[in-house]
Amino acid sequence: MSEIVLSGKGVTQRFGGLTAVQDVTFEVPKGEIVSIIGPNGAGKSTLFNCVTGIYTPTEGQIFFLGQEITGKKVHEISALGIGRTFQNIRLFSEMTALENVIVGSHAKAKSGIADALLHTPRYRREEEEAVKKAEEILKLTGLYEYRYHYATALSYGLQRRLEIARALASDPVLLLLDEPAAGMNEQETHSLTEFIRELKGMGYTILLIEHDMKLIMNISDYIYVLDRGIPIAEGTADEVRQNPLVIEAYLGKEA
Amino acid sequence: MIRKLISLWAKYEKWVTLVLVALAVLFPVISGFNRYVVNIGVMAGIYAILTLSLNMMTGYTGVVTLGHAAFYGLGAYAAGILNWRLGLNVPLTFIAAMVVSGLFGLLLGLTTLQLSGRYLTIVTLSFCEIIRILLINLEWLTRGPLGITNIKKANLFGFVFNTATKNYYLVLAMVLLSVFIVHRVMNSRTGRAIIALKNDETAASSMSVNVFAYKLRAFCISSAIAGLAGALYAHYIGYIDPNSFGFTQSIQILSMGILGGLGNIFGSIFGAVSLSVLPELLRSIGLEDFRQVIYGVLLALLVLIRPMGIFGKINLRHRRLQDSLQLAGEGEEAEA
Repeated sequence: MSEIVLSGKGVTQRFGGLTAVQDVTFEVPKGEIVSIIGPNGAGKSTLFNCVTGIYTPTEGQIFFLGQEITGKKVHEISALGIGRTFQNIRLFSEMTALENVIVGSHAKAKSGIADALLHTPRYRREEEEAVKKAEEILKLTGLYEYRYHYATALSYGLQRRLEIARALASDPVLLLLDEPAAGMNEQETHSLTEFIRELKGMGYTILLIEHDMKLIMNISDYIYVLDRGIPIAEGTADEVRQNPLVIEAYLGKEA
Repeated sequence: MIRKLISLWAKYEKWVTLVLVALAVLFPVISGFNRYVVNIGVMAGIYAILTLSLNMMTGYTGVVTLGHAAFYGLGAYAAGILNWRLGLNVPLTFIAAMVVSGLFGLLLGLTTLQLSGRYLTIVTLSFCEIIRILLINLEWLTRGPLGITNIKKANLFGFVFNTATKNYYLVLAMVLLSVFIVHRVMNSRTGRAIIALKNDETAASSMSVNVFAYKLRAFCISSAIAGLAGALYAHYIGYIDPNSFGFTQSIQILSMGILGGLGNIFGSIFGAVSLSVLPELLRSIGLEDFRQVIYGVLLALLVLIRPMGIFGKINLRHRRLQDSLQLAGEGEEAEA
C-alpha cells in the first residue's frame, strides 16, 4: 500500500438548495494518476475547487500529505505543494511565457520589497535561480523557443501546455489538471497524453478531470465517477467501463 | 513604423533615459532661470510623483482610484503640521509624510481590499471626501478651512531651498527616487506577484500568491509616495488648505495617469508633465478660455485612438527580449 497524497472524506458542497457534491470520498496514492469523470454538471469542478480552497466544503474533510487542508486559503494550499491548471485557461496576459512560469515558483522564493529595492544578494540569487528553473521547465515542456512571447500570443495548445509548465514551477507533489484536453484536436490530445505519462514517470502524482474518455481510459490508474454530485462508481479503467451505472449516466437508461 | 521606433527605443533605452534626465537637469538653465517657467517644472515634478504613485495602485495593481488626492493631502498636512507646531523640517517631514500617508493607505487597504473593482473605486472616492472633511473639522489640529500658513521652505541641514530652481532640483531628486522605487519593486518577485494578481486573482492565488497581502503592499507603497509629493508641495507653496486635496485633484492625477498610459513609468511622467504644461501653453497663446473644450476633445481622441493611454501596454524590456530572439533567429538562417 503506497502513501496517500490526497484524500477526501465525505466531502459535500451545497449552494443554497443545490447539492453540487454529495458525500464524496476519494484517495490519491503517491505516483499515480487518478481521474474524476462524469457528465456535465456532475460536480467535478466543484470538487476540484474544494480541494484547492476556492470553496470550503459544507461538510467533510480533505487531507493533503496527512495534514487537514479543509478551509485553508487558496494560496496556503498551493504553497503546501499542490499545483493546478484551469479548465478555462487562466494565464497572466501581460507577462511573457517565462514570467508566467516564474510566478509559478513564487512560493519557492522569499525576497520581499527591501530585497528588491537594495538588490540584496538574496534577491540576485533568487532571481537567477527562478529564471534558470523556469527555462528548464520550458525546455522540458517544449516551450523554450516561445519564452519571450506573451502568454496570450501563444496558440491554444501551447497555452494549455504553459499552464502545466507554470504549475510545475512550484515543484508540486500533486498536480491537479482540470480538463487539460478541452478544445484540443486528436493529435494535440495524443501528445498531451504522452506528456502526462512522462510527468507520472518523473514522479508526480496527478489528479485529473477530463471529458475525453480515450485519454482517461488510457492513462488513469484509478477512476472515480460522479453523476449529479453523487459518486456512482470507482475502479480501474476496465472496471468503470463495464459498470452499468456509468453506462447509464453517460448514455441514458435502456428502454 | 511605430513598431520600429519602439524597438529602437528599447534597444537604446539607457541612452534615451540618460538624455531625458540630462534635459530635466538642464531645464532651469535652458529656461534662463525664468521663475515662472521653473515653477511650472516644480509643479510638473510634484504631479509626476503623484502619477507614478497612482500608477502603482491603478496601473499595476488594477485598483482604479478616485481618491488619490487624499494621500497627497495627508502627506502635505503631516509635513505642514510638524513644521508649524514643532518646527521640524526636511528630511524628517518627508519621512513623516510618507509614514502617515502609508499608514492611512494600510488602514484603508486592510478594511476595504476584500472588495473588488468598482466597489473599491467608490470606497476610494468616499475616503478622499472623508479625509477632506476631517481636515476641515479637526480645527485643533489643522486650523480647519483656514489652512496652515507660513510653512517654512525645505531646509536640509542648513541648506534652504528658497528659490524655484533649488526646489526644482529637490523635486527632481524625489521624482528620480520614486522612479527608482517603482521600477525596482515592479521588476522583482513582488512586482510579478502584483501584475499576476491584476491579470487573474484566482490564478495568482493558485500560484501561492497571497493576493490580499500583495495588494496591501502596493497600496502602502503607492500612498507613501503620494505622501512624499504632499510634503514637497507643502514646503514649496508654504500654504495648504483642505480644498486643495479634493475630488478635482484626484481626477486630475487620474487623467494624467490615463493619458500617459497606466502600467508604464515613462507614461506616468509624460502624462503628468504634459497636462501640467498644457494649460500654461494655452494661456500663453490666449486660449485659456477654451481649456476645458480642448481637454474634452483630447480625451475623446485618446479614448478613440489609444484607450490604453499613449504609452500604455508598451514594455521595453519585453520588446528587447523579443527582438533579441528575432535577431538570433535571423542569424541562424544566414548561417544555414
